[in-house]
Formats: sequence, structure tokens, C-alpha cells
Amino acid sequence: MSGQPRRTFALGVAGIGIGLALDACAGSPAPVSSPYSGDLRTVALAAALENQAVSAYRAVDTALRAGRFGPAIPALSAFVQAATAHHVQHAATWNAILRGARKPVVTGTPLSGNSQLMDSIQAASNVDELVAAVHGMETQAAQTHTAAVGNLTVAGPAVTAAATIAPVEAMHAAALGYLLSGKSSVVSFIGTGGALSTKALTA
Amino acid sequence: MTGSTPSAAASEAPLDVQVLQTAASLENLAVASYTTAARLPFVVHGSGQLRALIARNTAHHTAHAQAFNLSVHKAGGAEQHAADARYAVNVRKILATTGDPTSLVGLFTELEDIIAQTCTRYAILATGGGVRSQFASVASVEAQHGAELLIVRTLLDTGRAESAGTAVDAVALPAAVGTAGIPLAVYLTADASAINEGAVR
Repeated sequence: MSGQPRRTFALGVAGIGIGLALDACAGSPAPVSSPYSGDLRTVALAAALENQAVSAYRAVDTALRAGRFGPAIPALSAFVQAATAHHVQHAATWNAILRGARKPVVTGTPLSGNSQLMDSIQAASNVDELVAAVHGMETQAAQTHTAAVGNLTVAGPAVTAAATIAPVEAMHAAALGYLLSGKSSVVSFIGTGGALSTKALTA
Repeated sequence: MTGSTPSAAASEAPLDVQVLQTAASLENLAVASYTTAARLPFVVHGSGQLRALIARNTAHHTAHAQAFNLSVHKAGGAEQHAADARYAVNVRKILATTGDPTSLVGLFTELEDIIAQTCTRYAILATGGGVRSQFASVASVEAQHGAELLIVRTLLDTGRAESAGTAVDAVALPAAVGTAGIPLAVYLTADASAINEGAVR
């Protein structure tokens, strides 16, 4: 008799079934060499976005710790630590869906715009520019996940992940803006005009 | 902020109509509550940032109610212009006795969270892709309202009436203010309203 808990085993089986279904669904065409197609391409894009956020916040943390922008800002440093942990968890959620579908997990940042984002963080000459870079990144992530909620063709863990993660990215953006300026950047609706399409995924 | 559960009588309307009507009823409740709050003396004569948040959030919730009712109309259902009955009486009572910004911000943080959780849940449940995306969009905005209110609450708790005006001012903020607005890695749905809670009967 296996020592594996029954519930874990059942979840694993369900994950494989759902993953195969996601893979079979129509979506934007993937590059010939890509392991991701259909809804799973949207999932892989989301995982890459989360990895990018982790990299970006680590670069911000390094800059703050090095004192590049003057005295430490404890509230901003605390925000960066917490947001990084959130994005690590989000990446794990998206990658669990890929793993359940027997697809490779996304461990890097295979995104066409990644170098531009990292360059803007490196080039920031003050805290406001630094915050603006990650604020834009969070807004793009929230919009991308919001679009995914409507575009994913199979109801299941990917829709749940997108629906429950999008508000968190949006909160990151709102808190960043309010924290440093006292001015709200929140608008009536989270649009999808700035959402990344799966064409931005280079894997 | 608790309320009695809705009648168990299930509506005959399709799922998307029911959840859109319930979401509209919660938005109507938010509009009524913020409108009442804006007239409270300690708001009228208090922090400009709090007044601005109340005015801005009122406008957002008005837009959300209109958007949900437009979608209900498109889906062939009746528009919902009443406030959510489960919470309306309790919220009105609380507002009538609220005498300070901290309590008021606490009430609205709770209300925004309930609406955000409800919209998140409906984004998962709704059958139409466009409706799902609409719920996801509004859920994120309510979550953002909540994030800002949580920051305001923490500022009030640390004796500050308002947030920093610049990055230089932000140096003086305690670390707790930095994490106050982002308490969760994944948005919850356990407190979402029942799908027929605000259905038009």
C-alpha cells in the first residue's frame, strides 16, 4: 500500500487531466519549437511574468540596499520584500498547472520585453523612476491576468489562478503609488489594453 | 459587518444574470454608504486625502453599478438598482454611530473586501468570457480601494493623518505602512456573496 496521501494523489490525477484539456484548446498559435500551446501558452506567459517580477524586485532591492538613492526607505523595502514573496508564490501556482499538464515549468524570464524593464530599473536615477518601472510592470501583470480570465477556454485551475492573482497584482500597483506620493493611481476599471499577448512569450 | 443570509429561494434567471444583479446590488450599497460618509462632520472637516478617496471611490462604484446593469440588460435580465439587502441595514446602523476616521476606514475596508471577494468568485463562476473579464476587472479595482484604505488605516494607527507627499517624506514612514496594503498573496473568495443574494425577484 502506497504511503502517498489519497487527496494528493487525486489532485495530481485531476491536474494531468485538466492540463491535457488546456493543451488541446485553441488559442494563439505557438512557435513551432514551443512546448506550450492553447491555454497552456497563457499559463506559461503568466509564469514568465511572475518570474520577471521576482527578478525586477530583486534588482530594486539590490539598488535600495546599495544606497543608490540616498537614505533607506523602510516602508518601500518592506513592500519589496512582501511583493517578491507574493510573486514567487504566484510563479509556483502557474508552474504547478504546467507540471500537471506534463509541460516544462518556466524558470526564467522568456519575455520579449524583459531586457527593457530590467534596463529601466538599472537606469533609474531616483526612487520615483525606480517605483514607476515596477508600477508599470504590476499594472501590466494585472491587465494580463484580467484578460486571461476572459480568454482561457477551459474553466478550471488556470481561470481560478488568474482571477485570484490579478487583484493582488493590482493591489501591488495601488499600494506602490499611494505609499510614496499619497496620490491614488487607481482608475475605474482595470483595462486589458496593456495586457501582454502570448506573442511576447519567447519560449 | 455581518448580515443575515439570503432567502434560499433560487432564482430562475441564468447564472450570469444572477451574479451580475448581485454584484450591482453590492455596488449600489457601496455608493449609498460612501455618499452618507461624505456628509459626516469629521469627514467634511478632516483629512483632504480621506475626502478625496471617498469621492473617488463613490465615482468608481457608480461606474461599476452602471456597467453591471448594462451587462444584465444585454443578458436579458432586469437591472438591479437596490442596495444589497443582506448588508444594507447593518452598514446603515454602523455609519450612523461612526464618529472617527479609523472606524470609518475600517468599515469601508471590510465592504470593499466583500465586493472584491464576490467579484473574484463570480469571475471564476460566470459562463461568458466577457462577463468573467468584467468581474476580474472590477474585483481588482475594489482590491485596490482596499489596499489604499489599509494604508490609510495604518497611517492613522501610527498617528499620521495622511500619506507621504514625496519619496523624501516616505523615508519617515514605518515599515508596517509598506506592507499594510498588500496583506495577501492570493485573493480570497470565502466571504463572497451567494450568487442569488442580490437577484431581482
